[in-house]
Amino acid sequence: MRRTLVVVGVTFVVLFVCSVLIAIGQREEEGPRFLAGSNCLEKKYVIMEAQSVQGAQLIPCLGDALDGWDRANENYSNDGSEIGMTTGETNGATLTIALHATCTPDASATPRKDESPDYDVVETTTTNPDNSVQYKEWYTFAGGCAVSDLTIPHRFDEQRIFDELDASFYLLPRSAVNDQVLHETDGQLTLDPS
Amino acid sequence: MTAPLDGPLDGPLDSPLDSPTGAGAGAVDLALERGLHRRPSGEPPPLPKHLDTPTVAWLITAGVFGIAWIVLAANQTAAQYIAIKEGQFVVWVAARRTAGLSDFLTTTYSFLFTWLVPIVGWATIVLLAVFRRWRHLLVFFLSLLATVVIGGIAAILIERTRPFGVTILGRWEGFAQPSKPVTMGLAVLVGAYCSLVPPGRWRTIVPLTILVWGAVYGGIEIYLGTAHPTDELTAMLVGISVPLLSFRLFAPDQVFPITYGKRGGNTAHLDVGGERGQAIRQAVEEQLGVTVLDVKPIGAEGSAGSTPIVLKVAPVRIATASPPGTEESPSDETHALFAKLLARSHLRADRQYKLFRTLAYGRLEDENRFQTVRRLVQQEDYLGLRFAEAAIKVPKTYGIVEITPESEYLLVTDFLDGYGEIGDAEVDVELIDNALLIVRHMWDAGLAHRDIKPANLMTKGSEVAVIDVGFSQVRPTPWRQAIDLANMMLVLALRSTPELVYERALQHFTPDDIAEAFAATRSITVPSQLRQKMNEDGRDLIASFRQMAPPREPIKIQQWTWRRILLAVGVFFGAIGIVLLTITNLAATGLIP
Repeated sequence: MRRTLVVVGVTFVVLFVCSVLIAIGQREEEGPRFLAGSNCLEKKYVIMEAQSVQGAQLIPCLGDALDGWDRANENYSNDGSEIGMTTGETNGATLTIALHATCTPDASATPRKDESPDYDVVETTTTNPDNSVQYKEWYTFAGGCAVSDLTIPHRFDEQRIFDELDASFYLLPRSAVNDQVLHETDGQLTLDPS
Repeated sequence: MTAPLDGPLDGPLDSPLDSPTGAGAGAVDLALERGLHRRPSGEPPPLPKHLDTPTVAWLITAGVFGIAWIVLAANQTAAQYIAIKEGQFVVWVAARRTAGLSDFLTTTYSFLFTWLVPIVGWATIVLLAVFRRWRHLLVFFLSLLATVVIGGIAAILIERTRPFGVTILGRWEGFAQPSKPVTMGLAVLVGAYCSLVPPGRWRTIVPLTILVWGAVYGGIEIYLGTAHPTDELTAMLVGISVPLLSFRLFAPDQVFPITYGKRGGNTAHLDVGGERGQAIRQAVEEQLGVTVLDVKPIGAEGSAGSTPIVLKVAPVRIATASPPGTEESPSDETHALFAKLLARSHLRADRQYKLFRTLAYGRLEDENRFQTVRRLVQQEDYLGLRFAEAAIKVPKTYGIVEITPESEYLLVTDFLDGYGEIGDAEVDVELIDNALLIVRHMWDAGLAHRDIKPANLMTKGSEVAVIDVGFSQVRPTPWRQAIDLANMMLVLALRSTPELVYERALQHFTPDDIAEAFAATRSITVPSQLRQKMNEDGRDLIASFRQMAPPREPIKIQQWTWRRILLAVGVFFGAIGIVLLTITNLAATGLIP
């Protein structure tokens, strides 16, 4: 009986995992779609971010131009979300993008010239004891606040990383995420209550 | 009641293998009431292995749901259809929310989210520690950890978002499927059920209650808009199956029974009522040819390595293998037989005993464990015959009865009716001599009992019998033989005086033998029951004997071998590993809010 249990349990787990992989594989067949105005692919994490701050009118996303970075962690909850990226090496560059309903920028943060009428941004630059440089930005907009926290070790080419981020980081209108939901549900469901 | 099956075969120092006709009587001299039944191939044993009904029912249900989910998930059209339909269902429910109910459920859900797992989890851990069910405790914690890991992997693979088109009222974290609060809530409840609920009607009531609760908790999440119906179904699948399978595999009831309120007994004692009791009756009848009228456990507090029971058997005729035409001697009285039920739980006790002894004594007690219950019971039966062969009074063995192949066996022996534990006896010179002669015979035959204590010495008048020879050893170390002598003298001194016992011991052993015995004695070499009795007695008996015996340097018992070193290192680091694993994962399992 014990052996039967083990066989049943193992078989079930194997079938379970295989089915999930099959399901995931099938969903990829359509080909990638980009969220409007960005090179961010339609991915679940964008929806999760939007759901984590239900009033946020802008949703941060990281596009495909961010080459060579790996997802280190992701946390989503009703209190907000946080996605961590890293260049993968030991002591590599790290990037954290967080979305909250509200945030309190550092007192020393200085405003950056308006890039868009849809949000305000303040920023700080700090040199850490290990000579790495930390760039932090607070984007405040209707219904939410996005925080970008980038740390670059001194041996890295700062400009290259800035260029990569400039090309990849977007604040998408919530409507773009809603479009993604409409697409996934054949127009039957919307992101927010209608 | 006379001693069962008394006759010329059953005297204090007679060999039980001598029969009145001179021919070997073998292990069974019971006459047949009816023909012995040989179980043919394919026929189930008296107690077939099986799972309890709730476990089987759940595994079938989970299997059916799991396969259905697999088939649907593999089809994109079907998966999308289900996702849309249940999304619309959640929207429909949300549209019917009321302010009062929403406030109430939001508060309730927030409490459950934070405190359900810690409250039930820690209560279970404390209870398991109080009842010293360490195996269950370990499996409980590891099953929670496994549930977290499996649920987490599933969530990352599935990447189910929260419901669309609703204002989410409840707390949530991570992807929606499987729902983590419901998964962990069910896992902690099922873990508590598997480790705390004994067999009986509660084994049906509690699982149903857990299922209902899971449905209610899932319903709350759907109302609050934090999850979809399939998120809850998947949560139930993972949250129930993982701990259930963990306990059935790593702490099965047959090996780690859950019992309460057995005074003087211990958790190693199996329940001999119900199905097992019936199986015992059937097996004894078919394999020994006697009718069992009653099966009763004996709550012997000294029996950690088996389940001792008394079998009341119907009157038997004692066949003496006389020539044809000679009358047999009938007996109209019911008899009692003693039986030891040995199962995999006892195998575990044997394993732990040997591990402890190897760690404590090194080469002196380093031996391999039994791999199967069959070997364990064969060894005990064999040792009983060896002791009898050495003219040592032991219960006569009637053979081994199979209850469940490779899992449970019964060793049936004499009941020693009229005998009582030596701790309650009047100890006189003759009794002391008979007891010391037991050790003398063991030494002469190259045997060691290894567990001489009051509970294992039975007396009737001045006769002394030894029981529980399962841990005995053939050709033991001289050190172990010396320990047997010391322990026997200590037992006897508890009911008399060390001076008297020493004087009588000199009739059978040299002063150097006695000096050696007490030079080898430490608190660790004295069985715990004997040690407890000595503490209650208050006299320093060991010191008294050492004073009377010739002086002798203490015998070192710490003998190191590579196996002992590696075992000690393994046990140490294993324990450290478990502690670290526990501490670092307390938050992950939800036990720390």
